[in-house]
Amino acid sequence: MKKFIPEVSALALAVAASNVSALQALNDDHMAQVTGQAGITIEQDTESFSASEISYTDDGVSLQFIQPEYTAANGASTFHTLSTIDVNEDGDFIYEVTGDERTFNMAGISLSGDDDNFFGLEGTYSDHLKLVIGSDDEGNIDLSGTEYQTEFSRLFFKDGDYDWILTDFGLSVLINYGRLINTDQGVMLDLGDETNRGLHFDYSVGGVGLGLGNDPFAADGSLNKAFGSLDISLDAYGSITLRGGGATGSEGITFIPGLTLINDDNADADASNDTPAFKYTDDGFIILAEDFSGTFSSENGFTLDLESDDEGSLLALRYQDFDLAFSLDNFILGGTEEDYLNGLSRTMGSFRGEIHFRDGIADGEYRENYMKFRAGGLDGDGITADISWNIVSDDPVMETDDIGSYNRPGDLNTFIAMNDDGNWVYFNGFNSYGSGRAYVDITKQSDNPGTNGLYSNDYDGYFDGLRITFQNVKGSYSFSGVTVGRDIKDAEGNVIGNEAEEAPLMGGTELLLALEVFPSYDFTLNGAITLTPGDVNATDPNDRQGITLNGDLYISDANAAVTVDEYGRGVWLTETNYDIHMRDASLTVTEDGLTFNKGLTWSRIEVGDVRFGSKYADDSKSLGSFTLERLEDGTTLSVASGGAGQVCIDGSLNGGGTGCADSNGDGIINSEDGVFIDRGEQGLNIKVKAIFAEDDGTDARYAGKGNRFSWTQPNGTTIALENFSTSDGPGSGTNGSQTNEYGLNIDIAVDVAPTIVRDQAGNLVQDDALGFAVYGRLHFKQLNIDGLSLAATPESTPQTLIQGIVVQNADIQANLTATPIR
Amino acid sequence: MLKTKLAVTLLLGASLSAQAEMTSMAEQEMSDVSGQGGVYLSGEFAINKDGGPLWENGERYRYTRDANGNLTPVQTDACDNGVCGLRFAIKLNESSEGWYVLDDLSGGFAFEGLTLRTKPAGEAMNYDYMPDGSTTYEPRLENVDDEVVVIGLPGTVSFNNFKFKYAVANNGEYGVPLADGTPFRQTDIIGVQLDGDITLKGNLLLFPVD
Repeated sequence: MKKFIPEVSALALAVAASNVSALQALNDDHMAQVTGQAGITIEQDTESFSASEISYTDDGVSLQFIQPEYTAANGASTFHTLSTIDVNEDGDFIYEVTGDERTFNMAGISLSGDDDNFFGLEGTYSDHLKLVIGSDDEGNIDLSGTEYQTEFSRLFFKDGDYDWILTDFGLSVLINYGRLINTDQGVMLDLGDETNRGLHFDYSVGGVGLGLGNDPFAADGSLNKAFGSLDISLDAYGSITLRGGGATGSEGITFIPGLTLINDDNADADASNDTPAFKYTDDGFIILAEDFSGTFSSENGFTLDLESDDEGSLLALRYQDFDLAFSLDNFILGGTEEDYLNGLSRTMGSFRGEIHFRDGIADGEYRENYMKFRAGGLDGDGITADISWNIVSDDPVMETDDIGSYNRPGDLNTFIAMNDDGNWVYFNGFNSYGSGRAYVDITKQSDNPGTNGLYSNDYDGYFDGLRITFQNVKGSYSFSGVTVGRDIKDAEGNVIGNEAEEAPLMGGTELLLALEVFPSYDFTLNGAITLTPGDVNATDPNDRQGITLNGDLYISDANAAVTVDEYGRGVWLTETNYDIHMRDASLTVTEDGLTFNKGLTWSRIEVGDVRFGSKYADDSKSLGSFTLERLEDGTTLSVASGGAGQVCIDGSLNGGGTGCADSNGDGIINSEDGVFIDRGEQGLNIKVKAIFAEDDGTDARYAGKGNRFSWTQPNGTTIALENFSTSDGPGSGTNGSQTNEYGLNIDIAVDVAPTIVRDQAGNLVQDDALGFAVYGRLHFKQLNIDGLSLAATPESTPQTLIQGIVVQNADIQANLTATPIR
Repeated sequence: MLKTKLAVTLLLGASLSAQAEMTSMAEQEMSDVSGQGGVYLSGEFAINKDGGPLWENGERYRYTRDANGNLTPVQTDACDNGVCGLRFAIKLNESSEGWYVLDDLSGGFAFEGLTLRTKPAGEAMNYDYMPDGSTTYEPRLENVDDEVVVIGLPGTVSFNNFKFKYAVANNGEYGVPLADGTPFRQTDIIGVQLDGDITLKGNLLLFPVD
């Protein structure tokens, strides 16, 4: 049995008693509102309400809500509450309560036996609840018509003296159809089905900011620096079942979801009800998904337990199985909201995927899915989370067709898929498992400036912001392969499936490398990253939104596949260590899309062994080791929606973008002027501007860092590429220096498009094979390489092979199609 | 000779050249290849078709250097047709005072059907084999049990107005005088222009060997 025992102290009771004495008679206006209404009306003007503690106890461990308190807001002496109780003509009991603006405080949320809190809370809000309780004539409670709205003008999550701040936080829930049914599994909330959607909710946050003992608000009350705003609008249907008893002990809670969250109002013919499922706005630029559908289901459900171990009390969320399926339609990345509303935005296409969590034994170890939370972070209040996950896919299934035997994805398939103008690409057979600990704290640099320098490889101080510290997070993932196909349509043209779901598995996960995602990866992650509201790299003072990132991450004992088949054989980078140090990096949305500015970033990758075969030394051959060091200052990476659109290969587009222009000026537009290709309105654009910096002694932050590459063969022979950097060329700087602003630029537009495949004899194999069409451009003003050296061993004196390399004035454009093949 | 190295080997029956008498892969070899997964690449590259970002107005400058190291343009060199190509300069060692230069590189080339995949190698010709005591390489057919990266060559590579100049210069950066004030000098040795098709057939195998 569960216990829910509110514990109200004598002090709180005394305060409550003073509330009673503070009740005032209704004035004439209020009386006028009350008369004419049916039922009972209760109106209250309350000075304050508080309790010393409210706790929930499960198997001897308590979740404590410490010193909750309601007081009047904005200088008022009381806060007003109006409640009505009524029974309507259908016999439904209706309880309605409207709370005017008030301030809510809670000193902390903690677990019994812990000195530290998860966090404290403070907020100013108003709310409205309408609770409708009726009967559905089948003996069940009917909640249809119930609704709740709340608005927090400001909500503070408190960590000691510091605050994580949400402004204009709003939540609205409406139950159109809801029944409480007692089943042998527990109490089930039935929320209808796809045609009778039981629930609608809207969620919005105006901004997210940080208070570190200073005033984070501007004169107009908005946050000086903030993450962008977020709006979510979804329907829900299905069911949630709640029952007593968790995974451990005799008490706890189990909840079993069978829910679908959906927003498909852009898919219908009625444009008047179109609301994006998800919209993030950053200084007027948007990330947006027009429609969304997500199904969340679990057979055994989620269990919530309070328990204790050697380290103290904890709150554990466990799930033996959990299936998540989602689709995201017309995903827009970048550009202004005004462009979107005027129909000028281009989309990245649609995405869908499935994720399957399962507890189970693999390779002799039991892999679980859980999240365990402890009160207190690495430094005082905060959150400590122990996380374990196991995402699975069935092994590929062998099939035979007229070409021969092939493997298709297994029936239980964790995948992510992208649709570009009707063409699908699936990345199939994702498996991943791992575990580790993370700490979440709010930190301030001046509290701990560190004993080592801010720009050293072993900086041990804090940054301002929300710090997430990773401790021995060991994980692994792999894909089994790519499938491609088109939508399958019925006679009326309705999409009823797509070919990719049953198609042969092929190579092609290597294409993920363009996004710096390895096809298969084992890793151990340590280090910390700190998120700070606002864009530290914004040059316009009116740009107040974005996310700043600082951190030092250490990935060790890693095995990364460069190319690999479904059996894990290919080319591997093994025994790899990767240290990344970021200072004043930022993440913002701009006209170029989602833009990551790496700020000053330096890194070192040490690959112990490049292996051909498996990732294990006894089943592969070694190519030796290599080391890559990088020093970048101001490198940006942008991802946007749209794709290549209309292109003229080996020529230039005409003014209307409808064909190639007359490039050679002969008055005739033909193949000599290029080849025109229309790649549709959907796709992906990636823009990289890499600024490779040089430690020339003028910038202390660069000291000892640089851009170098070396390859050591197993016999010790070492080839090293020394000190490569970009610059803006002769005459760009003063006193013999050169500026470094243009960088090395890579612009890529990626579409999923058909292409022709021939065998090596030139015979046509397929004339409409789907693949990635990549339209790329590499351009830079000047690239300098100090030299190439060769040494017999890493310790011996290197011999210079090349003293220097200078590349100037490069603009290389490529139009490539990369098609996965069997 | 290095004990371990990256071997680059061609499958028996295939070759890498532009000769017309090359033979295509046998049927069995083709079926071996089509049974494996990988990526099929087609496309084209264009280098500086509208010039480059450093000399985008079609002109390059020669400079003088003042006592503070500041550069001042003193001469303008116009590029062919107002389009400046890519410049690649390399200095071999410290004792060499000059730079070898591929200059004004521009043009395009296209290919269809370059494949990348990994597979068990099976038999392959090792052109890097030198018998003990011998001073010459004696290519031989070897069994290779390990995975190899197979680069299937594209057949035909078409060049379109692909051109460059081979030159020598006293500085890698065009137009920049030396530290002692010696003016920039460059001597063009030869110019190359390429139009038409080159045939590249066969498979290129990459794998580590002892």
